[in-house]
Amino acid sequence: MKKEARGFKEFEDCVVLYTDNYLNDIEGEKLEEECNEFFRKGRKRVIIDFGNTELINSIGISILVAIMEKVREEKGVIFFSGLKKVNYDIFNTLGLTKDIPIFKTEEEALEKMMVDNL
Amino acid sequence: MDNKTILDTCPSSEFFGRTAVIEDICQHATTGAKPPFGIYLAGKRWVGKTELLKRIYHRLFWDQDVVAPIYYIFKPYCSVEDFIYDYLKNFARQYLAFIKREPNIVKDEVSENKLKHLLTDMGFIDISRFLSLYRKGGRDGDNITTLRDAIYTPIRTANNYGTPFFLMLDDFNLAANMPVYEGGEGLLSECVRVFMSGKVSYLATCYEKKISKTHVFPGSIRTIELNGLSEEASISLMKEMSQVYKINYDSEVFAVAAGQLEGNPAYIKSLMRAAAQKGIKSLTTIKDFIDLYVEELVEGSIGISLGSVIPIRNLNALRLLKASIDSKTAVTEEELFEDILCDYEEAKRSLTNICKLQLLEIDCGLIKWNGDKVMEDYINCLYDSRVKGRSRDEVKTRVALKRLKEGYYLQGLKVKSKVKEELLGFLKKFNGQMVPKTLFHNQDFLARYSGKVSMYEKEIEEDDRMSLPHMAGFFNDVKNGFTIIVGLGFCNGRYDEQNEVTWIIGIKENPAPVHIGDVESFIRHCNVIKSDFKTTAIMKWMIAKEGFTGEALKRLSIENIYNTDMVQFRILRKLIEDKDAILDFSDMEGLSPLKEFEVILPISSKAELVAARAVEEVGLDMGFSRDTTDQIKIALLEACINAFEHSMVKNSKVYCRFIVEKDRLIIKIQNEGRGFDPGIQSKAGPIVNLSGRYKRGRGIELMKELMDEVKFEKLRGGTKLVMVKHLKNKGEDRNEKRG
Repeated sequence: MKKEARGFKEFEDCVVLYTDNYLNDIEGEKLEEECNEFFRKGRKRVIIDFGNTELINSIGISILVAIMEKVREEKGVIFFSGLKKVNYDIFNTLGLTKDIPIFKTEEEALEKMMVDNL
Repeated sequence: MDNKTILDTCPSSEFFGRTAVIEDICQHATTGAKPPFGIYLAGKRWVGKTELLKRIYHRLFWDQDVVAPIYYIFKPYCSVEDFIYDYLKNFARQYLAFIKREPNIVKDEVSENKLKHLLTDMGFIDISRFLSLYRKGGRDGDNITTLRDAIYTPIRTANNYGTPFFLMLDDFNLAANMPVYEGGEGLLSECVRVFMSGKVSYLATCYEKKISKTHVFPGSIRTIELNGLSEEASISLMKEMSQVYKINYDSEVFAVAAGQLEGNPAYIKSLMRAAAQKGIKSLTTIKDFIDLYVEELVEGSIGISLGSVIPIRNLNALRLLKASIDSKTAVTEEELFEDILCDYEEAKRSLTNICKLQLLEIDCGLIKWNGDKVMEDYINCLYDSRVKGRSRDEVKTRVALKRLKEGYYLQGLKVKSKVKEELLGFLKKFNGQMVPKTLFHNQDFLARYSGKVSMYEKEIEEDDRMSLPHMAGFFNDVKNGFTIIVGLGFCNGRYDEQNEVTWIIGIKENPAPVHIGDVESFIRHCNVIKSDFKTTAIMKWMIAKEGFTGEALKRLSIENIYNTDMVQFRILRKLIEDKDAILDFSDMEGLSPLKEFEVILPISSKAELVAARAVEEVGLDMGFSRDTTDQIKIALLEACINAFEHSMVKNSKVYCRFIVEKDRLIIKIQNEGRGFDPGIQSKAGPIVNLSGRYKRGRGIELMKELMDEVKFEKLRGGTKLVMVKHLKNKGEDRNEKRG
């Protein structure tokens, strides 16, 4: 199935991806496809911004885990930003917050990523 | 164990429901009744007698200085000398420890040399002499005189010293099995002669209600029967242990478990510990409990413990026990031996041996089973496997089937008896009062008053009214699934034939809403009852704790059958019992829902979002905070996705029911399909280690994390998931598990 292009921003070798209102299996797969596309282009530093996302289900979470693993394999960097409290809490419960830096806003995540790159 | 513990006891958090009996016995021990009299504490095996005695010992040791507590547990001795030595050493330690206020004399078991020095220092020469004499296996001579002298020595010592003692004799029945001399009476009779002579205050424990069949007690005696823990105490114990072991529970299931285990604390603790050891995280259905129980009974610690106290090797003994269990009532020896395939002498020998195990009670030539339900199950299992040759799996299945049926019946019975009791209480007061009709029409009532926290009599005054009958009398009968109460009376205040009326009232026994099948069944019962009475005026009324399904309400309306849920029921009761009542719903917790919504979802992509939107509205309206409402939404998403995944029926639907109660939101999700095993899903590893893509398995964990209660019920053709979120104060979010 052809995946639709999604919203994103690029800063140097960094890319910010935006998730939809509901991150389920379908939206998760699209997000993963997009990430893979950027990896193929050599973009190894990814920020996923969840500012628009109200709900995430457990399939969505498992896809995020797969993306995280892929980034690790590619020796890249991944940050999350803009998580709603309930979604942050779920990530925390499932132990994801230990493995990935999470920022309040996309800007904070971007700033940190740029500083680390210096 | 705290620093006041001298004898080993269980943790205080696992000791429940014995405060009154401890107070009673301590008071008896310290009031110094003249002449002193004894207490005979009778209770079945493992009901908690030893634990109780040890706690009384601690109370008496630390909280008073009038009487020295002495705890002694009888054992299977090799010889009389063994008993004398053990008994005197125990007395000496505990008496000295109390007088000198040095618990370490008991706790640390001071050496015998030190003990003898202490005894000599205190002037207790007699005891010291006896200990020296019997230390190395006793002496030759006149056993009986020495024994009597030895048993009497503590009484003499205490009299001389001036501090009396309160003697607690645990497992006193074991003394019966110890012959003092060949062909003579047992140790029991010697102990009875001395302890119960009216010279010492004592307490003795035994399994049977009678201490001895052959002795007359010289002193006065009072009997206390120690039964299992009350239902309330059993539930508290189970809840406490569930919290320690992080096991989800359901109070109603624990109430059923308490009934099935007869409140026996040893069984309860054993099962809860087994649940923790097996990694069981949920005891929320009767089946969860029965599965655990059967495992423990057949292959676990309960089975092992029972095997050690009921060492049955002889098949005839097993047949006798089985026959006594099945007979339900007391039977004669001949009746009991009827089906035993052996001669009389052999059967008699088996019976004598069984009697020593305290499993049978013999009174006036009649024999009766004296064990508890768990022992009953254990014997049945042994019988099935050894006599009938059934496989272990079949044995387990048979016990599970029996206990599941009983558990389900008990669960229903609890609801029934409570409602029935209340109804019988106020039916007597039906005396022509005018009451709002809405109290007999559930649908109207819900439409008019659901969601209101309180209302005044005046507020429903405008409702149409109906007249209650002048009830002359009533009687009840249990039909399949129903309790039927038939009330006979008069209407219009005239006691003549034309105004005679019969009320037929049906109370549903099982804790589930009244459905169409129940209504049809009730109508059939009514028709049978109707034919027995000549009156033409028949009023039919159904009462349901869990409310009615929509279909049932329609049918009830067509048949002109009154229908009342528990909220209406309690209002009616208040109106009848207190004319000026302010009808406050706040004291009607746990009753029927005030608001209900249902969302029916087709199985399609993102259909779960419809349910999430609906619950958002409901949650915020109830006063849940935004964060808590979000938690509920995510839990509901997971529940719906689970239900979709396991609905294998074409065009099937998922039913989401939101029940708004005063202090909680209950969400019920039901699918049509093959159902699934939540146990398997919850065993998935951590999400971060998932090797395959898009695998789920943490959905149930998420639901449990986000909601206060989550339980699954397997249904024929589907699964029902029930989730609860509590709301204690409106607008106050108290249930945040994180942050």
